[in-house]
Amino acid sequence: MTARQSPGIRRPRLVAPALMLVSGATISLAALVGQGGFAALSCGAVTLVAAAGYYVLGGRDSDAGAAVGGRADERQLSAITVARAAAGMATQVCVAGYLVVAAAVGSPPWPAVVVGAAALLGAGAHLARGDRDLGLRSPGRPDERQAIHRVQTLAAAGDWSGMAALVGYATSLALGRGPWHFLVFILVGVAAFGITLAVGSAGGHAEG
Amino acid sequence: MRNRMRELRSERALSQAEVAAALQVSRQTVIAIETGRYSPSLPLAFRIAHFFGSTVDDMFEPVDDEVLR
Repeated sequence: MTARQSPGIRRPRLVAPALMLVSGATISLAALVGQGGFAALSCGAVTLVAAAGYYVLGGRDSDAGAAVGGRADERQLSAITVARAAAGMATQVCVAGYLVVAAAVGSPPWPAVVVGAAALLGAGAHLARGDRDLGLRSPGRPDERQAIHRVQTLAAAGDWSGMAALVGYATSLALGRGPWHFLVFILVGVAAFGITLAVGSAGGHAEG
Repeated sequence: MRNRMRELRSERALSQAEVAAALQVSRQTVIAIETGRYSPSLPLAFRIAHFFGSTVDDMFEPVDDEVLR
């Protein structure tokens, strides 16, 4: 592969599958505690297939392969950040929708509150680390730096809301409660991430 | 941003993969730059110019709406 390798990581292609295995093992354990052996085995099987899929995808000569394989160059890293931001925005739209439906049917809104609060915390933590100029007070369009900073802030919000949804999903499984509320947020975020990355990478043709 | 990357690469009979390896970027990124879908960062623009024995000014030309009037 041709892109710059991450310094300090000998086998970057293994990072994503390893993270998938760790997350999947945690969720499988939670399922074992709260739902029983069959649910845990199902989660374990899905995890193994997903980790194997990530490993195979990480070896492909494509933008998605570079992203999953840990060898993304500057353009691909930028596309990944935009996709993370899109996942964050889609999750927040889902949170808003959830709150409306929960208010309408009288169900507890806390899963959406947890995921929404995590997004706010993520954005706040990102802004607290340094540059806070998002260009919101400036007239007209944001300049290049402000636009990039907005996307990075949204990406941080997306990361935190995704993590909150994952933790919420595992916790709900372990407590034997319906985990579907959190699964909706996870699926919406993953779909938005994948679609944005695919659309951003489309076009152009290879030669030579 | 228009650029002369494809033209200079063809003159030197280099493949996109060879240029990508030399610049330490992916082949997809070389394609994106050549087709004008991606404007490289300043450090990468300098690497490209250096690789082709040219200057950033000579390699890249902004299109009309990218020039501040």
